[in-house]
Amino acid sequence: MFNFFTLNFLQLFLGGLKFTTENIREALLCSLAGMVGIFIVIGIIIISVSLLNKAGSKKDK
Amino acid sequence: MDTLMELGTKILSIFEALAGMDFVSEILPMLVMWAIGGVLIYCAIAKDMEPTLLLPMGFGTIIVNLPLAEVVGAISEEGAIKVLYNAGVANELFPLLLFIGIGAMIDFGPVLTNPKLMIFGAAAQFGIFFTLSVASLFFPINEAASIAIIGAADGPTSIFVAGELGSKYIGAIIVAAYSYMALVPMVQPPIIKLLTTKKERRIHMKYEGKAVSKRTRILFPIVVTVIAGVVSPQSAILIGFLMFGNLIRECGVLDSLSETAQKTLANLITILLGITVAANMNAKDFLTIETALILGLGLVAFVFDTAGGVLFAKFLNIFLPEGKKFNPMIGAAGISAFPMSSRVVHKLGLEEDNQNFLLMHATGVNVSGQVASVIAGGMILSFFGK
Repeated sequence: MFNFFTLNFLQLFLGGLKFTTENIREALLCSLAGMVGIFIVIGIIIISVSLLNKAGSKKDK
Repeated sequence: MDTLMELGTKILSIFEALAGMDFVSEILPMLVMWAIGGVLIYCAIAKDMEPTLLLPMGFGTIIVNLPLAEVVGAISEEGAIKVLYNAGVANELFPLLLFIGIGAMIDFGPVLTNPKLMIFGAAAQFGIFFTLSVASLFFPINEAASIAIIGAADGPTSIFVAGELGSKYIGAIIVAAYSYMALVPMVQPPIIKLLTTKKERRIHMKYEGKAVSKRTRILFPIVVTVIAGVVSPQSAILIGFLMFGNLIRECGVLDSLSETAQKTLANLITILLGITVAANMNAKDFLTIETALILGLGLVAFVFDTAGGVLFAKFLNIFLPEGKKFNPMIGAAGISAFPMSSRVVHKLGLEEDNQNFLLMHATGVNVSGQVASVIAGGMILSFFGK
């Protein structure tokens, strides 16, 4: 009885969802590119801020 | 007389339509949405969970789910809420204006003294891209990208990106984003504890309170905008508005504008944004299995953001000598939910060792997360934008 209702509920619950793997390749590639891109942008910002700080401290001296 | 007759006919038609409402398909969903609106208002007032946004959203949810909301003009195209929605959310104006206020509020000092900390802001965006992959299994790629941006842990970025990608789930996405931001003190500690040892949580980090020159503070927003604009053009507008607000704050000659941006502008936009976003929270669009899944994916995004930051700090520690190691907990503050996340990390540090003060480091990582999350939004837009 319990299993029957659980199964029915799950079918009803998950039935509305369409499971597909057709986009996964694009999603994974974009995810990888996105993470690499963020690290590149942040890396450039870190270098720039470090240079700004260095220039600032030289001027202070 | 004619006007009176017209009014009478209109009232009569409303009563007729009310009498003809079906309980299961019309009245019940409406009651559920009232309850959801009530819960949002309760969380805002009683639990102090992101009250500035959840309260207007909760109230807006009740308004747009009033019986015959369309007839009375609440959600019709000519209705005030829809007009505001089209004027401020559909064209992404409100989130951008809010960014000016947020930029004016943020002090980037902690990250300018130790710019290396910004790397954790980047690592803690992992949840966005992990969620993108998971969401792509259930949603079209554009919708998956809109859902993944919940992991930015930043309301305006979520609204901007979801709006720009034309997501039909924008209501659910915003509810998820703001709810999990408010739930950061509950979501993050178990993940941090699971991924770190007691010894790691006790790592002390020296704070060198170096003074940052005014020139650096002024140049920082300009340099960040130029770099982000050149490397990731789609993020230029987002980061530009955020950094414009910060430039107003730091330039030192626009104090009154800075104050207006921080208080009046931010408050005004927040009021309008909350109630306007609710325009998309009518029962028909909101009470779906997709909404439940979006709420679940939002949690996945926050969990993997936290895990990404913590694990990246642990990874860096492998190469660092004793005394120079990072406390891996600060990586979790890179999720941008400012300032809650940094407070959570600081509190966890004190729980393990009452002399371990991580607030300044965590704040540095936290504000970096704000910048990184906006850049992540730009990346998403550059991949999937129009």
